[in-house]
Amino acid sequence: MLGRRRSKKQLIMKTTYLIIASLLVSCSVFGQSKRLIDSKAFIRFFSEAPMEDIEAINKEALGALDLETGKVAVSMNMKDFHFEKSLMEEHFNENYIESEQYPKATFSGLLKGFKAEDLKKITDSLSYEATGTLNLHGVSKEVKIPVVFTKSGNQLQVKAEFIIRIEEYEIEVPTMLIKNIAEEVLVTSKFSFTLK
Amino acid sequence: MKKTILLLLLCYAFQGAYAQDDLLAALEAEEEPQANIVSSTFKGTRIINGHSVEIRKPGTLEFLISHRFGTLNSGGYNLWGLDQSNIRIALEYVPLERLMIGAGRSSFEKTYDGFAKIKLLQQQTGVKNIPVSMVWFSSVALKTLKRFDTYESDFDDKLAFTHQLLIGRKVTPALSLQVTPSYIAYNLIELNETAGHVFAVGVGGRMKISNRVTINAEYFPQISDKSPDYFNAFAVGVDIETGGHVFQLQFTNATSMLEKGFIGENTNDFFNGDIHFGFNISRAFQMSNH
Repeated sequence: MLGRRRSKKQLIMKTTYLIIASLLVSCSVFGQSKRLIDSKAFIRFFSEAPMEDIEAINKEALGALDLETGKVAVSMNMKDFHFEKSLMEEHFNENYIESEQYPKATFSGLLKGFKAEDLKKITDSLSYEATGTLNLHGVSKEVKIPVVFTKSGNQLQVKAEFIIRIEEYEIEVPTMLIKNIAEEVLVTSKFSFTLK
Repeated sequence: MKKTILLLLLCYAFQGAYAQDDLLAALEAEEEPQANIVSSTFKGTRIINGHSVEIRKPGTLEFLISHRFGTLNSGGYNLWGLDQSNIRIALEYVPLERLMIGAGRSSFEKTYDGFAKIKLLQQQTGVKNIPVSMVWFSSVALKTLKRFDTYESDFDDKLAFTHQLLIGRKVTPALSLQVTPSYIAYNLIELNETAGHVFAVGVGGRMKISNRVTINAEYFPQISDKSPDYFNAFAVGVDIETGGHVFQLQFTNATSMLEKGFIGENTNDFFNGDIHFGFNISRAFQMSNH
């Protein structure tokens, strides 16, 4: 009698674990199907200073959009930024962005008023404002970034352009190089997602 | 039973929160493992006199001017060496990833030189873990100074060949160290010399004191020498980097800026005050896309 009761209890426990397991699985599968990911996102920054213009391009950034919540995330390796002059690239990593200590820049935020249904109705373009945290050079700042969606076929293009002030991210420029490096840098980012 | 339901609910709540909030973490989990190449082990392609494991990116042409004044102990009449100078002018180019070639002319002994430097190993972490960078260096030097005696030297007599294995490691972002086993073969043995070749093991390093300034030191003890009259080369210096330039200022007992000279034929004793003040200046030009 005692033995049977124990096995009944075990059965209940087993069922409970099964439910938990199925919930975990369904949840993560469900979550993933609603996420769009671009693993070859384009990030460019450009600065204009009296002595020289500086441009760097990263074609290996990661970008994600959660269709259900309107959350967005971007992550990139600083060493994937490439410059026309290789020595400039070395100095960018070594002296300014200190990529050994701070290998990544990230953005994590939310598109205000985002609805997945709206994407189906895009004719020309759709604009949102992303609010969230930009982490660069180990410094986190709350930022607002305008984001524009366009669509061609089942390809969703997302473009975001904004300006960062390098002093806000504690990136130091020696006074003798102030003419070579602008205090404000224009960041252009482009993401491309395939809609199912 | 109540406990299990509570547990179930907790699990669900936690899972939900995880799925929603950590889009960034989920995104970073998508990332493929990368090789973290360790760059900028040294600021320049030289530690001070000798080569460093540094090779510029492909397409970089560097114009390098190295300069050594006379010795500090030459007295006030010579403004402690500043009246004299010897100079090496060189062009150094990186045609391919990991390969650097260069040619130069030194005023000291009117010497022409050519060299090649190939990176065999690149220090990195991540996918592969390689603790050091390793570079092979070979050079040839042609001394064209007219002899002061009656010996008639032919072309071969004027040549000397250097081979080095540079093993360097960026230990921390601030500290880099290098060991440089070196072999130099001379085609001509002078009367005061006993051998035509030299073995030496150089040691050198740099310590960053800011992002743009480092303190460097370098020592080339000879294991077997050409003549007991020759001293080991020692040097201390500072690297200052400004944009496309690297300035290297140094104090060294070496007069020559070529391996065959400063490692094997150095007649100055550092501790006797035979110290040259000197500098290297390099300017890099990007000739093609890397």
